Amino acid sequence: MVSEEKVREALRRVFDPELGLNVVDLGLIYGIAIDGGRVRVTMTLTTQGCPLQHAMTGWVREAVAALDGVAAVDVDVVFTPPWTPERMSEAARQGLGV
Amino acid sequence: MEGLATRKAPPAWLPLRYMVAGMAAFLLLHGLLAWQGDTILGGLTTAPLTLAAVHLAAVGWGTLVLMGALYQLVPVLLNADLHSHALGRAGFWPAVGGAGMLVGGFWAWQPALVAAGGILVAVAALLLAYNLLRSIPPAARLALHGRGLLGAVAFFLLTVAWGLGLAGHLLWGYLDAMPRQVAVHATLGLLGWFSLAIMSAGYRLIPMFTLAHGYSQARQPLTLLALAAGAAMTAALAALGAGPVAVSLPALAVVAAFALFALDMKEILRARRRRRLELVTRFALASLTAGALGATLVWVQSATLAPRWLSGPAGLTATVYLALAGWVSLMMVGQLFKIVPFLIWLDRYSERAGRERVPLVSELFSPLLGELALWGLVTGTFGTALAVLSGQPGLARATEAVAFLGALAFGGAMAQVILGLRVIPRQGSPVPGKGV
Repeated sequence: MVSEEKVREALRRVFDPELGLNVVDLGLIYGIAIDGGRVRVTMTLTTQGCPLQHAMTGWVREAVAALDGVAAVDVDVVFTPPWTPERMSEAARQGLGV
Repeated sequence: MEGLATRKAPPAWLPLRYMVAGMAAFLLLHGLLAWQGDTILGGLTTAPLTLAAVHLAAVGWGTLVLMGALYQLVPVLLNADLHSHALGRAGFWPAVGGAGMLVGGFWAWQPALVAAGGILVAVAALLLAYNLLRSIPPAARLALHGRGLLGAVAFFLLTVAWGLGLAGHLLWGYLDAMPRQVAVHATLGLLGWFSLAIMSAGYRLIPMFTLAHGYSQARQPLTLLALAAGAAMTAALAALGAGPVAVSLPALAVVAAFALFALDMKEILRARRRRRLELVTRFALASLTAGALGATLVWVQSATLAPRWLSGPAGLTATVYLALAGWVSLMMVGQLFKIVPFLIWLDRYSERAGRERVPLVSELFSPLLGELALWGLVTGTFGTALAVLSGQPGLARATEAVAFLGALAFGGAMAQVILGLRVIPRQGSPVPGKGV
């Protein structure tokens, strides 16, 4: 049975290639909902229309789909509320020198 | 990172082909300046070699890079697909051929070749304008930065049209006041085409590159309006032969636009979350300094307030040099250090990320080359402007050699990115995409 913690751990391996930080520490993951084998990830991007949107959602989908017990993955990209740097983890802030 | 690419953006090599050709022209330009700088910058602003160098800078380098950037940026800002990729690719050859013929025509002083080159550039400009305008979705409300970029394209068409008129004069000799009409051509190109495009794109890209949040955008419409209106009116009044006082009023609006843009950039940088000043930001600061100096010099000269040493040929040459090699070039080099690696990364690695270890965008070129490019180009450019103003050709040769070394470092870094020459560090790097 997949858990939110396992999904979050999988997402820690999805990196922004420009910032060099993972999407969890960047604060891009807004929510994870699990319904049996179906996982819905709600996420955002650092700015609206991010060039990585298509690639990033694909990587998120792949990372979660690889977990045991996951039958389907939905990735919703939202911009409300907008991402702010305050959403980053301490590790991400240190990585960016914030 | 809106502004570089989304699913709406064209394939990476559509804009990249323009950028690569532009970067080759940039290396040629600095090579030429290092070789013949004392002649080119000697204050004879309409000498054949000087005109060849100016068009190598303005058309071969600046315009080609900007055309590539517009093919990339405008569809993203419009949130619409580019009307035709084929037309975008088709415009490349007249743009490159036209630039080459303009440079060759001026160098060898062959007015027919100059006119033919101008016609080819006009074809490329019309294809760009048509393609971008046809990309606007029906009933779309254009964002400020999109309107600014389309306004810059309108100035591009005007610049080319005016240039064709000047080329016609070289063939058939119908103008009375050639220097004044050359000044109109330069005003349309430098202020309307390059500066409006740089400021419009800068408002979009620099906050994105620096992760700036929470800054005010209230002044941005006024800045772009002051620049566009000031450029158009300065050019119109100069074309009509208005006196210096009349011309200096709209020129003051241009100076105000540069001041407002500088104020906005200061606010954006204060609101940035990436504390380290990256290459792109440091290039932007150097460019802005050159732009503010150049705009002030233009106003002082247009108002005939300048002392003789500043209003003479050396002062005019230094102003054009600061505008092209400083304001335009330094901003473009900085932006290309971000844009080219990003486009190459998306093209080469986005499908491979997650399946194998791939580099980060910033690992595609050597940071040392980036630093050498920055210091070489900035010290070389400002040093050359100073040497020209103070009438020291020996110093100008030395400073241009420094700028050429900076240009070579830039070219080397871009070659690493495009040809995949960099040995990517494997240890300790995070893995983009789904980690392996």
